[in-house]
Amino acid sequence: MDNKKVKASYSLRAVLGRMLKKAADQNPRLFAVCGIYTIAAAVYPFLAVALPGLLLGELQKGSQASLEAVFGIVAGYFVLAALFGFVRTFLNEGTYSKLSFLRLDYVRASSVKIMEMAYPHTEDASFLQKYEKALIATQSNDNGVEGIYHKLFEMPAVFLTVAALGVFIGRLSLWIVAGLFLNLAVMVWVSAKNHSLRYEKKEEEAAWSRRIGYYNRATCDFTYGKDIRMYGLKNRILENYREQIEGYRSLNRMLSGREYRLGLAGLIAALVSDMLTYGILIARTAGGMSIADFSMYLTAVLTLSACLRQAAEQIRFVIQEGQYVHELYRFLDEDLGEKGGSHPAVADGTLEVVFDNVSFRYPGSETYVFRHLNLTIQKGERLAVVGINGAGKTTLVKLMMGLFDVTEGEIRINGIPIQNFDKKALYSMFSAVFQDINIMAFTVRENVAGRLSDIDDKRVDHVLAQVGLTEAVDSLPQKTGQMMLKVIDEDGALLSGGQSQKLAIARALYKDACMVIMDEPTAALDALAEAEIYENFSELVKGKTAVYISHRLASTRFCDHIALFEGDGLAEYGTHEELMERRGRYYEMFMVQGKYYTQKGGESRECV
Amino acid sequence: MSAFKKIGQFFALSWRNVPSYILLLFVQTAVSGGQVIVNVVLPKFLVDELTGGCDPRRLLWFGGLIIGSNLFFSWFHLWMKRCMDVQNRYVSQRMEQLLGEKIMSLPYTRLEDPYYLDLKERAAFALVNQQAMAGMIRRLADMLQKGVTLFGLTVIMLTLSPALVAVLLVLVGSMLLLQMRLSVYQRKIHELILPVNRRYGYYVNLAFQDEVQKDIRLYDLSGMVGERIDWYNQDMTETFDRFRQRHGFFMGLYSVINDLQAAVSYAYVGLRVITDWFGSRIRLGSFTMYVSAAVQFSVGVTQLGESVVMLGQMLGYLDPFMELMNLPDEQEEGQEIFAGPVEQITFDKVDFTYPGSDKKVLEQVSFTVNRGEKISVVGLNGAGKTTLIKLMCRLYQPDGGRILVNGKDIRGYEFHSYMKELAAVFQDYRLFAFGIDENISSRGAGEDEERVKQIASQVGLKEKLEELPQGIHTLLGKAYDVEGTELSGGQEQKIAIARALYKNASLIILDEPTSALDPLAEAEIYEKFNDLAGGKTAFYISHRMSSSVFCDKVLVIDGGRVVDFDSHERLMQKEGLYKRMFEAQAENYAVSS
Repeated sequence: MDNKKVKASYSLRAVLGRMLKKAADQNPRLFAVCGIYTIAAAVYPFLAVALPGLLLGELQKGSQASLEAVFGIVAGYFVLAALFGFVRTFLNEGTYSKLSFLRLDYVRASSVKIMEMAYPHTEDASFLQKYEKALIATQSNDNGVEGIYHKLFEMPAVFLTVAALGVFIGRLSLWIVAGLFLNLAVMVWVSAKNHSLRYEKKEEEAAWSRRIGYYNRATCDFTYGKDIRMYGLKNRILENYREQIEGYRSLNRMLSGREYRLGLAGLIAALVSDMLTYGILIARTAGGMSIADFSMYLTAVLTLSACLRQAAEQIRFVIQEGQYVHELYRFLDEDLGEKGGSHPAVADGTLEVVFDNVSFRYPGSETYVFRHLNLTIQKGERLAVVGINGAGKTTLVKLMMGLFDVTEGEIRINGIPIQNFDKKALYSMFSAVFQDINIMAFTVRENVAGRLSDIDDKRVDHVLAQVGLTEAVDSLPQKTGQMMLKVIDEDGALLSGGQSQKLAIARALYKDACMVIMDEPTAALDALAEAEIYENFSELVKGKTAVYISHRLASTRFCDHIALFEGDGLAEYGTHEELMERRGRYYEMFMVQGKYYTQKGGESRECV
Repeated sequence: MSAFKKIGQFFALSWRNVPSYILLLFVQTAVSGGQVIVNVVLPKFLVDELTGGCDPRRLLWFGGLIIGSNLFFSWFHLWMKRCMDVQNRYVSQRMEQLLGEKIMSLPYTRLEDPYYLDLKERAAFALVNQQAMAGMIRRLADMLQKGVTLFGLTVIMLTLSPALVAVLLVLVGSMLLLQMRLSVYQRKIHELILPVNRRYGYYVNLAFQDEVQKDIRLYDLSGMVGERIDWYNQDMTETFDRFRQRHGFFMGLYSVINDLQAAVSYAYVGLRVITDWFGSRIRLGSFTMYVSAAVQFSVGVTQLGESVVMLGQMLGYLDPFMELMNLPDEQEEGQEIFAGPVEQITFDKVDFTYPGSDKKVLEQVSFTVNRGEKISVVGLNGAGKTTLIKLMCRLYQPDGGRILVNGKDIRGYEFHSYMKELAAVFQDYRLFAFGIDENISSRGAGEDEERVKQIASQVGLKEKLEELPQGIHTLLGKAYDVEGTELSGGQEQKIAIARALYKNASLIILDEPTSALDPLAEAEIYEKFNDLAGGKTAFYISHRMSSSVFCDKVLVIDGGRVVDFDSHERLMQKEGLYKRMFEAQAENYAVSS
């Protein structure tokens, strides 16, 4: 039932129409090629039907048969079959990649869509699940978009053949055709029924698959190797893994058993159709029809039956896969918040950010990260945001940069409500450096500039010098043109953690946006690398508003103000000296963390 | 010849693991082979009767026979499908499981070698994406079936004319030549496209990677990534298109030869009906039979050829899988059972270089640690700290020098008894989709629950556990079951620490155990850990220099060499790397400015 609802809920026509339009826009020649293919592929099976008929007709004459006629028939068959067969095969194969390209272009479109949609979707665990079908639609050559394109290419020929053979046989006996269609109808019914039976168990099946998939990953993922060995988990995991596989097999056995029993109905229909075909043909021949016609009609029936099956399969396929393509179009058309408002970026100068009575909780969560937060970051100010994990430090900057929208209240940048900004414009106003360092497999200069063309190379050199990477980059064989990482180029460059973070800062400098945000940029670095990054910081923020997030308090010393966040929001705000004097949470945390740096070793040993 | 060896090896593997599957395949082969022969022979009688006596009872009988055999074979295929649907999936899952089992049994050294990582990726790709295992079994069965069928058909045709068989074989030979040409070309393209696909996959996956989403938006990188994807789209299409065109041309020729075969067969058998040039005349029924035998023969040979090519291809795909499966398991080098505890651990001039690299990571590393000592290992990123730990855990073997425990080379101890005395929290530790209790105990549920609970609360998990509806039995993560619970990085790290403590080993190693913890939680763990660790010998690695203050001694490593090994106080009195690093961080914590 469910299944039918899904089928009914989308317009196959609209989907196919749009697919054809896409093909017409991208490569109109495809239609001409398909036309030629259709003629060749539709004629070809008739040659195989005609040959034995014509030949037998001649041979039946016995010694009166003409040799010329026999050779003529065979030669004629060969020439035509060779021609049409070659054209059919060559065109089908030769068009394959052109149809693949149509899919690949959708892969690109989906990827760009994902990269440009509003950020909260990327943190929504259910997002990919929600659009799973849309994404599956472009994943393989044989299904979804490309599967349908291949079928659409082949279908006209099959339908033409079915129609012609149907008329041909129908003129002899409608009963035979009726038998074939009965057989087909039962087959379609059985397959639909099977489909819905499987559908009922879909969730159970998915659960088994997921569990097996988990063990597959856990055993094959090398990063699990150390702990499996250290804690002797191999046998335990294998046992569980085996159990899941066996369990899944039982479910499959049950489903296959049901399919088998349903399939028996199909056998009966096939029997009826066979009886009609042979019965009628034998009776007609016994009643005077020539053996040539007998043979020709028999071949025609077999061909038609195969074509009917093929046509039914193609229709089923297109309807089924059409759902996925429908989902793909829905995904591509849906407004996923990529545009935002229409206000352009602040043209010059730096930013003032005001949190006006802001409350926020993550979508789908009950607990508020902030309640009624009021905070102003003045132009040119350097603010340190500190607090324990989970206090909402990163959330604060995510809101500020428009990655998430506030639940209540308002954030204003230079007096303009943040949601009025065009998203791209908004993002363009921040130079941000994050804790996880993500160098991508592009060249050094592409990584710094964030684009492939129109790169200002002087500027790239300049910012690399600013962060102290000139020497390291010059030592690479291709200098700034060097590909990073080993994924794409085996000779790609790998940087150390500290160097990578410097490259990330160089990128921020190149961008030279109105405001700077640093989100725990040194968490993964050693003491000396950390100290170097701190030095870069002042260069980066010169004359700009800056926010520095850290759960290490040390970084606060070069900031004008400190905002300390606790479980329910902003707990303390002031300068380092003010907060130390207040002897509140900040003081406490600072003392705990700094304890072992400031006290002399001997004393602290007692804590042990 | 190595192909035969590979097939043999592969067969042995499948036979050991799924014998019923192989048996089923043989049954299928025999019956399907029979079907072709029956379909060729039966119509002969019907046609002979139709052109001859036309006796209604005999017509009914022959017609019924054909209909009956159709029914039987349809039923057989239905029944076979029922079995094979289950078996196919089962076999591929079992093969994936075998792969997993193998990986868990390999010496750890291999798991950090990029070559084997790549090998594994390729092996898994062949199994999962290319369905090479199922494809290979199917092709093999196909080949057998075609072999049986062709034999039967040849026998039938020989009764008519050896010459026809010879002519057909010549044609078939030319088709096989074409096939071979195609397959060489196909393999070349495959080799070419695999790396391109991998690179393409990298850029497409970037769009779906969680970690880069912030960067992509803030640095407007979608244009750059999209452009690159588009470039690959064009490039791949061009490459593939050239291949497909060529492929299509050969396939077209192939189809032409196929038609030629049919034409030759019809002409020859037709001549046999109306002339006696090649032997005595035959009846129309025999015409039908021989023509259909000849056509089936061509079809059979063509498919056999295709199967051989596909089999070759599948074998090629499976190469990485077989290579992986043929790697030797972890060698049990040592014999002596290590009874523990670790009284003393000594590094004696240890050298180490990662396989496939020429940079020495550790050089002449020597030091001795005694039972109960707490050692902090300090150094810049890349100094070799983690490597040191891996050697201690016997995940790698030193290239030079020895590691001694209680005076004996650790290689001399039986592996499992040695590992019993070690517990480690690695930087990239992994937890499993078991209950929290099972993660801590690394055993089945119900294992000394009191102790699990006690340790869990010692590492500061008590409150969190009380919050969870199923408490300590809560399933970790959602990957296995959607009912599971995701914990924060800090909480997971605490579980990993609890797991190491539960193990009751006499040597405990913490490699950056607090990186995901906030300052208060970090301080808590540090302060408590010495209590928790009790009399155990412990090694800590941390970027927080403050952690070394807790320790008895600090092992300072720089560029793979031990530069200092002394107490914090003494090291602070020297102008060395340690003091520099410590002060770089301490500077920021001066209370008064």
